[in-house]
Amino acid sequence: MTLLDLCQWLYAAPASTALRESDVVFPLIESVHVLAISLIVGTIVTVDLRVGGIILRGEPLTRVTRALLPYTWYGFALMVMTGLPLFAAEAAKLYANPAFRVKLLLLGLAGLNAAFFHRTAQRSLHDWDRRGAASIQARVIAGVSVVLWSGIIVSGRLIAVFHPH
Amino acid sequence: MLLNWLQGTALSTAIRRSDWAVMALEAVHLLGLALLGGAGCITALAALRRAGLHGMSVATLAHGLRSLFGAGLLLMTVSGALIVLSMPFKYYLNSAFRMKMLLLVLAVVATAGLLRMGRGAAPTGRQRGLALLAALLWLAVGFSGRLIGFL
Repeated sequence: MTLLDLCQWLYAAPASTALRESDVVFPLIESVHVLAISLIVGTIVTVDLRVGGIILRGEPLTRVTRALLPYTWYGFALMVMTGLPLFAAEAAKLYANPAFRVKLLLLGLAGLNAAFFHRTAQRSLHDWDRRGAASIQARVIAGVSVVLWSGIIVSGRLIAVFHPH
Repeated sequence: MLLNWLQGTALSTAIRRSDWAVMALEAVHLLGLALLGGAGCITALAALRRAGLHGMSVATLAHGLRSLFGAGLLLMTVSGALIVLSMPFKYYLNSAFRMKMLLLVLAVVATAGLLRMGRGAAPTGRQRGLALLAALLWLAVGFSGRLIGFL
């Protein structure tokens, strides 16, 4: 079974068809999906800008990350829970959608970037609390994160543009 | 008529005739939403918890995130106004758009009322009620915005 077969099977499932044809439930799930992405991006960009020393300079970096990153994960869970049914409903069309492919690629890169930040930077967080500024490397990672998440939002919006009717 | 005049302006015509301008404006509108909505979510979460978020109070976060609120609001209003300008009749006649504008006014009034109530040590019952109403109105603004494209 290829990936395309799987997408076609998902697309044809009764639940997917019902969701695809619903006038209220589909846009409602889309709206919650956008809300979840807002929560993820809002918390991540806040941490990124704090690493860059641009906002919340009076608050230690460890306090900002501990306060916000749990909500990033709640947002991530909500994004996946809403994203999966949205994908299933349109799976056969999304399979070849270039904007959807770019969005998944950027999501993967954002995940790798975040993992890289935690591996390399976690130990230095307390030093930065004392010095008030993060290393150049951490600032670059934070900047890359802002760019990647902006790209995820833009490519997500463009899915509709490449969507066949 | 105002809508006729708006549609005849050079800016409206240029956006309408471009292959990518509305698409780009919609993407910018969504980027603004992520900043404004994200900052709003963080502030609302801090307001819900008596101790704030890890010792950061609503006031600290609202002040610290003011650049996110400002940037998000600017991106949303400018891109939104340009999108409407490009096709004023389409939006004027769209019932989801009308509903969104009505809800937007109500959400802004509720939020302004919340800000005017001032900040005591602990929120009163009325403040909590108004905060809940404002949050629901903002969610309804977002949902009716999504419905514009569905109609």
